[in-house]
Amino acid sequence: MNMQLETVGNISMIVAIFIFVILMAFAFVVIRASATGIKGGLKLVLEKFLRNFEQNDTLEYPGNDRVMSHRWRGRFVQMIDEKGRMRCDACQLCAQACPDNLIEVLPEGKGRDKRPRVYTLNYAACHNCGFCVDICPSDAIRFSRDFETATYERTDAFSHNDNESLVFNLEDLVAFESSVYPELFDASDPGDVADSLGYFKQKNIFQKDVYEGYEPMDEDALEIVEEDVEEKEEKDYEIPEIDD
Amino acid sequence: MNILNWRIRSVPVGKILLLFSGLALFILAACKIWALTNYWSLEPVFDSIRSMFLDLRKNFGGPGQMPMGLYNTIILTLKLLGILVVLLLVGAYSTYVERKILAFMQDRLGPTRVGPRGILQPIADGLKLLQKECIVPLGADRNFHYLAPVICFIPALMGAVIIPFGKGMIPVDLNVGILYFFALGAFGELGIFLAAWGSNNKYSAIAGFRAVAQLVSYEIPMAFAIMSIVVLSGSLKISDIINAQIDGITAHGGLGFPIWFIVPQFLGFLIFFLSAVAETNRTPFDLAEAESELVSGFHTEYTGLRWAFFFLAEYVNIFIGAAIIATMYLGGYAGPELPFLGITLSSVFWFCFKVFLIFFIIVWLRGTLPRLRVDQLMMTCWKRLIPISMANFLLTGIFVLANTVRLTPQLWSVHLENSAYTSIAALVGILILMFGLAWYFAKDLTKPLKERET
Repeated sequence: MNMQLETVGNISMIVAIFIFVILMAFAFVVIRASATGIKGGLKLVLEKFLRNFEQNDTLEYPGNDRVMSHRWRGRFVQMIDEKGRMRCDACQLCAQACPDNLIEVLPEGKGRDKRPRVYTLNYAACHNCGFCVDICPSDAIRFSRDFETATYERTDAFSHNDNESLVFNLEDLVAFESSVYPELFDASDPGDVADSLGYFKQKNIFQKDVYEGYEPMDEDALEIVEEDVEEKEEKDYEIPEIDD
Repeated sequence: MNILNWRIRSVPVGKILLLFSGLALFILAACKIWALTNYWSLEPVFDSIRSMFLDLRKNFGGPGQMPMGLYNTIILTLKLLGILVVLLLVGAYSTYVERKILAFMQDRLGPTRVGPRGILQPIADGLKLLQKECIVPLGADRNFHYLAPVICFIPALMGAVIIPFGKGMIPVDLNVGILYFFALGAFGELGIFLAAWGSNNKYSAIAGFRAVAQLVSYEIPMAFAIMSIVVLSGSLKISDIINAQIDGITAHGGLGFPIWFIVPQFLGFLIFFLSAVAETNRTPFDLAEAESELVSGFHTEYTGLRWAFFFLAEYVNIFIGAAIIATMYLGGYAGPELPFLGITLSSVFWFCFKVFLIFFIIVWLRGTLPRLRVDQLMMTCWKRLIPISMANFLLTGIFVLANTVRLTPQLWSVHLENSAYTSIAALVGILILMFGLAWYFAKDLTKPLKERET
């Protein structure tokens, strides 16, 4: 009788384990089949979640000042060289280049000592085309990285007396390189502390460190690209070979 | 902070999970060793509170003393007040947690302005909603419009009384606890339908119809999943279900060995999880409040505090659903005793941890999956979940029968007379039928996505 009882227990245990295995296999098949499209998405979202714990790309703006790129076209500055003199020699080229006639330059002095007596730039109407910066022979007027140029009232922007006015005169524009407005410059950035824009203009390596992998295309490269395009166009008309 | 580093660095998810599981194993082992050392913990505090209530109880019920009913009333009032406070906090702060998690999944920061890291955001939201005007649209059924948020919110509160917050901390341990939860799920949907009907708005009406269809469909797989758990634990009582997982055996049944029911019921866990997400109208099953199609569906016409009640009810429902999932499949408050916390507090900790895990998965799904179409919703339920859950239930029944025979082989003929002789033929027939149905409906699941019928 004991033997029989043991047999019954063993058989039922085997049955129980068997059913359990069937259950798990069934679960596995169902999950495997139904999770094909979902798995990748879930993994991606979890990756994003874990990464953003370490570093979130969103900056809380009024608390942390964002440092803009070198190429940012912010408020203008008039540079002052190492000897403490203005670089601008009041040649008026910027005033002529400005498409909206926003720059007014009145010179004083003669020859090498010619400097602007009045330099007014109506930034409120400016659309940052950068013609003045490009044309300046002495590299005096430049873009800074300051983007906080909003005013509370429209009239504030155009008034000539207000401190927040966007009609800049000489005092508003003058800036030492990375010393008068240190908050605009990134001290850890060697290109910024040095005479950045002129340096990059000479060497023709704009922002190579920032835009990794960017290389200016020379003419040979352009020719190669054109050849590739022609070859592709030719290939489109060929009948593609079928291989199993 | 180098903000110009735009390339997304890949995160080694597998390694992180491995690390965390290793860490978890280490902590579990450390906790086990700690529990043996018998160092001081916070447990005496709870012991003194318990003895205080026992002393208080001695003043009631005897000759010349106050009636026992008064004591019960006091205790029940205290419990309900505690539940109310906890639920309001949970409902408010799960919105904050969800917004934070979702924001991190979408490369945002979430609420940051109110308080440090936006921790006071729910309170600011609540104050704002308190100030807003409650508008009843023209031509709406005013009574239903007033009643609907209340009817939506009350079952959510009622459902909380069966939740095991910790060891010996079930507010009301009903002997039909799971059935009670199941019934309240249907009750809450009435509020949604009343809101939809009472708003005099076509979008709300469509949302109401969708909600009812969804409820009627998803109750069925949910019921089958619950029944499988009831068969395994031998009881509808919440404390019995947890004890069956901790001790393996209770007065009413049990498997004979301690195991969390997620192991023998993994399929049931998936079914119940999906059904619970669908019951609480969450993404990807949020057809009733589809923001992009139905202008928030059933609460389009609600403003101010009434809208807040809907919102609170939704989040409390999620909490209750997560708590029931943790109770039925993850062992409830079961877990090793933590250092210094004592048995009671560590059981509360483990319960909260499991609930948060489930909540995180729900938010994770919301962050990942798009909303289903109506026909896809119905197909998922009727063609997939119901046959699978039926097959799961029948297999569970056979498994439990075999296990019972294994435990008491001297009674095998009685067991078979009780269960098998009377129904074995029907069982086998239904089993074959269910397997056939499940196979027929699930066979295109094995195909790649593009080749499926729908």
